[in-house]
Order: sequence, then C-alpha cells, then structure tokens
Amino acid sequence: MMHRFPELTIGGVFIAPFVIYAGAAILIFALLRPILHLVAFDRAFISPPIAELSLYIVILALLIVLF
Amino acid sequence: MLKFAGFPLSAWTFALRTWGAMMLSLYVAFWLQLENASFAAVTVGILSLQTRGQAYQKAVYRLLLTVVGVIASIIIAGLFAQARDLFVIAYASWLGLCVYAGGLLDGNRAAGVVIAGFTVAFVAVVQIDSPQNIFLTGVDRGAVIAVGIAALALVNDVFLAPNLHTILSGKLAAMHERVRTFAVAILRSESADPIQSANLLREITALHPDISALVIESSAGWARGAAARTAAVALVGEVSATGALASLPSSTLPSLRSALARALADVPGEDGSALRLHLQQRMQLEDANPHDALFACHALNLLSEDQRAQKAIEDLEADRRPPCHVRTPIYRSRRAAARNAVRAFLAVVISAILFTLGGWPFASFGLALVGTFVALSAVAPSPRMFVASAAVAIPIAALLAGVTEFLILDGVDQFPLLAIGMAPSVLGAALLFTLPNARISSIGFLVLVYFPILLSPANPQDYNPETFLYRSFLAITAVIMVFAVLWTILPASDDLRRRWHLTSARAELRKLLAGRRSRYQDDDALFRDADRIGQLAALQAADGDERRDDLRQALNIFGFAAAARRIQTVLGQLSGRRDAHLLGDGYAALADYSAPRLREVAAALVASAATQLDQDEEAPAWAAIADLNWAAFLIDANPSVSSQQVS
Repeated sequence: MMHRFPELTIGGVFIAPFVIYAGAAILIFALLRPILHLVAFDRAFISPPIAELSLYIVILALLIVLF
Repeated sequence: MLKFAGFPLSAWTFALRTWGAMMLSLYVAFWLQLENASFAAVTVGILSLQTRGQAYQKAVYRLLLTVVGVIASIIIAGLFAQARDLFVIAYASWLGLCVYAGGLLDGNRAAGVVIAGFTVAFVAVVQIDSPQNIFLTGVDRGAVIAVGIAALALVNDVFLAPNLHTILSGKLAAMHERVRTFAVAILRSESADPIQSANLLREITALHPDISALVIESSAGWARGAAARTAAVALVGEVSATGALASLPSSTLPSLRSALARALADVPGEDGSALRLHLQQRMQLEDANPHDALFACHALNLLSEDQRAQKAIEDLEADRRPPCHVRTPIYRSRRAAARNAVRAFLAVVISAILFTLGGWPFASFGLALVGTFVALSAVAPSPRMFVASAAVAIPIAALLAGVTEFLILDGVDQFPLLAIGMAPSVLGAALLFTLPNARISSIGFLVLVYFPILLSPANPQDYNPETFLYRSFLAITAVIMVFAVLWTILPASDDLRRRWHLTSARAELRKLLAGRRSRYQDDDALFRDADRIGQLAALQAADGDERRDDLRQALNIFGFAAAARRIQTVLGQLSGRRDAHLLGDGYAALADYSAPRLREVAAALVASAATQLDQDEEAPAWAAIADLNWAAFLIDANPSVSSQQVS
C-alpha cells in the first residue's frame, strides 16, 4: 500500500510534508532536552553536536516512517 | 598558534565553514527552485558567528521574527495597498516600533527584533506594485531563511564549530582572575581608579549576550546558562565589594587586609574559614571602631562573592545548575531607544520622498536598504561606527560582486564554478570578520552579508549589468542617506547619552530612597546598575578628567543604591520580629538621606542585638547594622553627590 503523507496548504500555498515532519521533529527534540540533560547525554559522546544531530535525524526518520 | 597568511587556523576553519554553508544553502535553494535563492546565502552571512550557541540563537530569533515581519507585511499591505503614502508611513511606523523594542534588548535578541522591522521592506515594499504576491513572497522568504539556517546548522555540527560554553567559561575564569588581581591591588593600598572599576563592570556585563545564547546550544544549556549568570552576578558583586573596601582608609585593620589579599591570591597556608570567622567576630564587636566593622563587613562580602564566582564557574564546566536563580536584567535607555525609533521613522519617510522624486528604477530596493541600515545601526554598540563601516563595506561588496559576476564568472551557469567564483570574496570577508579590531570586523561582516545581496546569484543567472549597476548604486546611495540622517536628525552624542545615563541612575536612586521597592532581586538590580556603568564607560567623553568624574559619580550612586537595597531587604527580614518603630525609623532615615539618623538606628539595633535577639535574628540584624553604618559613611563621604541625588 502507498504511504500517504499529510498535506498542508496555507493561503493556497502548498507546504511540503517534509516541512511538517521537520518541524514536528524539532518540537519533539526540544521536549526531549531536559531528559537528555538528566541522563548526561552531552557527556556520553566525544562530539555532542553530532550525537544530537543524529538523534534529530532518528526522530525525523521515525516520524516519516510511522506517520 | 598555527597561522596561515596571517590568520590563525581557527579563523580559516570559520571562513571555510561559512563558505561551505553558503554554497550548500544556495545549492539546496536552487534545487528547491525557490524564488529568492540568494537570500539563503545572505541568511548564512548574517548568522555566521564563530560559535554554535551564538549562531543558533541568532537563527531562532531570525526565523521567528521573520514570521512576525511577514504577518506585519500582510496586515500593512492589506490595509494600505491602495494608498502609497499611507503604506510608506505604516512601514516607517512599524520599523520605528521595532527599532524602539530592539533598543531595549541586547545582542541577537535586539538584532532579531529589528529584523522583524525590515522584513516588511523586503516582503511588502519591494512588492508595492503587486500586493497580491506578498503572501507568496513571505512564504518564499521564510523557506529560504529555513534553508540557510539548516545548512549552517549542519555545517557547524559536522565540521565541529567551537562550543560557546567552553569559550565562555574560559572568559569568565579569566575575568575572575582579573577581578581578584584588582581586589588584591586595592588591599595592598593602591588607589582605586573609577575608570578601572567601570571597565571591569563593562567587560563583565558585555558577556550578557553570550550568556543568554548558552541556553539554546545544547541539552545542558539551561544549567550552563544559570551557572554563567550566577558567575557574572558574583563577579559584579566582587567588584562592588572591592570598591567599598577602596573607599575606607587604607590604614584600617592592616593585618586582616594582608590576610585577605593572601586569601584572594590563593597563597598556600592561608586558611579562608579562619579568616572568615575572624572577620565575623570583628563585625559583631559592640565597641568596634566604625571603620573596622565596615571593613570586616565588606571583606566578608568580597570573600563570599569570590567563592560564589569560583563555584559558579565550576558549575558551568560541570553542567550543574547552581542553587540560586539569578536573572541578570540589562539596563537600556528608553530615551535613546525612542530617539532611534523616531530617527528610523524619519529616515524611511525622507528617503521614500527622495527616491520617489528621483524616479529611479528599483527605488523600492533602495528604500528597503535604507530601512536595513538604519535599523541595524540602531542596535549596534556604536551606530555611527556601524554606518561609517557600511560606507566602506558597501562599495567594496559592490566591487567584489561586479568582479565576480562579470570578470570571474562571466556567463557561466555551472554551480561548481559559481561556488569557486564566490570563494575568494566570502573567505576574505569571513577572515576579516574574525579580526579583533571592531571597525575592520564590522566591515568584514557587512561585506559577507551584502556581497550575496548585490551579486544576487540565481538559477539561471541573468548577467544583466544594468540591474547590477542600479542595485549597487542604490545600495551606496542608501548608506550615504543613512549616514547623513544619523548626523543630522536627532543626533545622540556620547555627551548626551552620558547625561541620560547619570540622570536615570539618580532618578532610580531617588525612587529607591523614597521606599519604592525595585521589581528586581538585589543581585539582579546590582547587575542592571553595573550594565549602566558599563555603557557609561564605553562612551567617549570630551576629556579624561570629565569621564573619570562621571564614572566616579556613577560608581558612588551604584554603591549607595546597593547599600540602600540591602538595608531594605534586611529590614524587611526583621519586620515582624523587631520593634516596628525602630525599623520604621530605619526606612525614614534612608528616605531623608540622613547620616546621623542612620547611625542612631544602627546604634539602637546594636543595643537590642546584645539583649533581645535570638539566633535566627542575629545574622540579618548584624547585616542591617553594618549596612546602615555603611550608608551613613557613604553620605558623609560624598556630600556633593548626595545633594544632587535627593534634589
């Protein structure tokens, strides 16, 4: 079965589904930040920025696959 | 330090990251077939800051406030699309409002707010002939900005841009060392120069924009931000306590003075807790010499602020949240903000009239640039220096854009060639931006931003010399107009700003003495006052002596306001436990600015401390006694300033 992506149209302008997924992933990532601090996520990796970027991509991919 | 062509390796990596992010953003914007793809490159230029935290903070404000700007564009165009005069006045009013709001903020927040102002120019003003396209232009602009931000974030993360928190903790540690050296010099009987104290406060409060950017940098950002704020407030408190010690005679308690200097200099064998106990006993001696008790009180204060700063810097390095919450509010002159807002309004209206009379094509582009320059100059540390830098940078950017478009690229349409062609200008501008000289750095930043605007890379590139010449000519004209406006319409000289700062400090002190409680906690109010002194120290005065006198006066007000706030706080803590009449006398003596009455209240509290106080009341009571005596000492020491303060 084909995966149907959610569509958003604002004032006649079609917004790509990827933008919605990217925005939702940013929101989820922002909500996860206190938990990441609690589990000392920053200290578990040599390069925390790349680890956080990877986590963001994982969330984005999960959203695309699941919804 | 490893250098190449006179620039350190870190500057080269910054320049290469900027160029890489700019090209990535252009490539993606071309691939997505966005209308104003060049603005993705402009966004990268604007957001190219040397650390991740600063760049992310600016990016968030840019994106959110662009949305606000687009909404304002739609409203303004919806209301006044048929009446151009009103359209221009509405845009000028919106820009003035944003400039006013930006004038009350600092760093990236201020820049973000003025972006909301001139977004209207690039979304609505340039579409003045086709208002039906404004929404589409707004969405397109939001998209290119998002692409620019994503490209910069990706490049910064993958190519390991420096973290703000590591740099900031280094700066705070260095600052702490300098404050300690300053305190040790004062304790070794060197005289206190107000310029030195004010410069220390300026450098501490100048860290505020970086501190506020910590939050967004990583998941530990909240804790790091709180630790950095505590460290900054403690450093201000340390400078304040050192200033208080400098006001006392240098012959006061010589043995304790040298013991304190040794403790601050971390001399091995000096027992800090024993010294603290000794100072506490000195402060609470009933028959102590008044100067000895005051010395002991401020020495204790200095030691505890020093320890707090040290602990907060350690917390910052360990990602720990400190126990106390401080906010570090900043001081901004409302008068200066209002004047900048009126100037921005008039600049837009006058330039609109001139551009209309000139009848040039692309006049709306020139009007948009006038708005940009006047708004950005209003939130720059020195508006005149910003516009002077722009007057140099814009012709350079125009020249580089012309050479790149018509000599280097000259008709090619392959993206790799565009990337290589833009490289020398982008790398050069980014390298200049990293230099410590503020003027050259500002020129580098402006070239980095305006080079892609004037080159205006598109897919396909039209290589139209007429368009390029008109745009360059209008950009240079816009800078000249803003330069003229800044010097002629409501100019705010440093002398005038100095008077505003001093007047506001006196007015706030008068309100405080009259019993109106500040809306800030004592620590926060101290930081805000220090920020005002920092701004005063940054202004250029007519001569050195005048500047020294102003700073001395401001520091006296700063010290007295801190004492008055502490008195009100400790009297508040004692209320309900002590004789209400006695506490009422304390407030009244403070309001009357009367040294003898303050001493009488202090003496009455000493008498009651000996007989009636329980253990819980003892500490605030002794703090109140010391602060009442200190306020009386300050009134006696500065009678001329005091008469101006209560007038």
